Amino acid sequence: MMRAASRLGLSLLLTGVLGACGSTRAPEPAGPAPVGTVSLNILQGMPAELQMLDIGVTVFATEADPEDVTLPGAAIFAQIRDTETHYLPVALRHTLLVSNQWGVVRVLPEADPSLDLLISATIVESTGANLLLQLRAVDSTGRVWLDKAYADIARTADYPDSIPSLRGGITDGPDPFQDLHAAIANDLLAVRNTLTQQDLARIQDTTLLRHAADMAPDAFASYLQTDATGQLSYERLPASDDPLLGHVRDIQARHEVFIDTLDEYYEALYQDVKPRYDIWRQYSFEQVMDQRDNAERARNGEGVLGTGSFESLSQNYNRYKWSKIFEQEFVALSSGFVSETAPAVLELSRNISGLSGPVEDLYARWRVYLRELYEIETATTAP
Amino acid sequence: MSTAHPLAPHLSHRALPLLGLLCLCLFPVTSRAADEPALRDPAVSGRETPLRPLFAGSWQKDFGRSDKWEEEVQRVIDQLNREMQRQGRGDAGSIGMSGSRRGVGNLIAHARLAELITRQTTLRIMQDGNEVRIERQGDAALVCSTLTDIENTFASAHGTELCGWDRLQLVFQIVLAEGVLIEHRFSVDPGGQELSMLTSVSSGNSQPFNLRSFYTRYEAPEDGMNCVQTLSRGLVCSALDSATPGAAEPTR
Repeated sequence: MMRAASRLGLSLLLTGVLGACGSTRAPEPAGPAPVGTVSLNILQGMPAELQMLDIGVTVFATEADPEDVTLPGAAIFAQIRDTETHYLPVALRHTLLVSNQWGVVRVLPEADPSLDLLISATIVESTGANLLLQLRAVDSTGRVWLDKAYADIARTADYPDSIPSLRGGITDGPDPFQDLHAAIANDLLAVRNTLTQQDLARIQDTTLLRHAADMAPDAFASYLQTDATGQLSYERLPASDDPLLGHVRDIQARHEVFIDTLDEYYEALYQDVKPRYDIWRQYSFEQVMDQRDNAERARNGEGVLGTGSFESLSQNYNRYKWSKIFEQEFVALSSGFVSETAPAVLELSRNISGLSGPVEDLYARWRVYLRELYEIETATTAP
Repeated sequence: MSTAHPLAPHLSHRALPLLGLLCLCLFPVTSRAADEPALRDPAVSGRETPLRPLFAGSWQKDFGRSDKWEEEVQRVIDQLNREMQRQGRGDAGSIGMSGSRRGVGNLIAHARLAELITRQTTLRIMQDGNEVRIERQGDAALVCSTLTDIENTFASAHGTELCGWDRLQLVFQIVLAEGVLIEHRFSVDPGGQELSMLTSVSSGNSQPFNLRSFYTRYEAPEDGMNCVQTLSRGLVCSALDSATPGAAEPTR
């Protein structure tokens, strides 16, 4: 045990020393170029029926940074990231709805076969200054619409001049990363515009068949084939008056009520969290900017006094001290964010799972229930 | 991301004292010696956690016993002079030689820095099963896990901090830009009534300048407030006896 601890000590030490060589948690975003300023493509009027694909945005995943585990406040930031996995999908959903290019757009706990297009994403980086998502959008046939990273950088102008306070009422500032959401929405639209009417019809038909096969594999799975590229296709459709398909449609209507309810809970969480999240993001932005300025000043040797003198040493110490105090205050504020939003997160959990387990479990149970309901209904109506 | 840390050129020799700390950590605490302070298992029994001394409480500086930096500087200079005389490389005025003068200049700078960063007359230490938090007026809190032997606790462009346990001593090592190493070494006496903090400042190959401060336990008056950090309203405090939480005016 002691040896293990010693090895761990060595590992941590080396991590610390080596980390000191190249770290300071670089505020510069890594990876793809930022999306820049993006104007959302909004449709005036109603889209054509076939263009109104139903979209599901699943709760995002996160990419844990192993370095973060050893940093102060790691547990607090992990909770904030967890809240963001529920918050950011709703922000994207809002943008898709505002674009007026689609059918219903719902936030879901996991992939659902009843929707035409599913969007999933992993939060690679999220601070008040940078947002980096690895996003994937796949339609019901398995065609990949998007599989790319989206990055956005917030600028000073994206935030109010002073950090807003809830004392004067709930803040409702614009999203500093709205450009990123708009870029995703526009890219989805660009893909849809490359599809023919027939393609769009096949997507919607495949959605119905997939959902039917999910409910009643014996009756409907044989309609679908998977080709060499992994895409689903069908040779024929059930008759429009197929009674089994009628049952599937009935059950789908109930399922839609269920996932609409889930969606409302995610929306409620978003509304509860947003005012505080806006403030936290602004603090985070200022912290990242401060780190960036400090690193820049240190690189340039700005304000360096005679090396080795007391004045130089005390100046270095004070800079170190204030950077640490600032970080400790930021951790404390982040902790405040977590404790203030905890009731909203708990409420989501209560509403969705009825205190009986996580939402994913409830969702899985619901799917089993639907299948059982289908079997009961088809058994009672069978001749 | 590719920016080289300003400390990078100093790491090879900077790492040595840190490795020293690591080596000391390798010695297992096999039995409780007679002069060891009261130990406290910070975790619930059943968890395999290291035993740590209890630092928690309010501490006030014992000026009578604590080192005075001017006297320490004089003591070190006297010692240097004696050594140089012994080596026959000069007379009592040898500190006037340019190299030695630079060395004395560094010594005084280190001594003044040590004095600057240990000016706090009181310390407030919180300790639980996970961490020790030493709050110092006018400076950042020193926070270290009680669960791990060595931990990287802070890194910025201006310096990095490690903390760890050297048997029963709690050690913080800070490496500033310019390669200055500051070490704080905390220990408590067996009765748990006296706290010692040994602060060392060194750079390059220089001899560390050591300044020892002693603290005695005292009962800090209760402030009667229960404060909770919030994001939207800052630090929200309420009187402990108040039946209505949040009765006091929020403060930032």
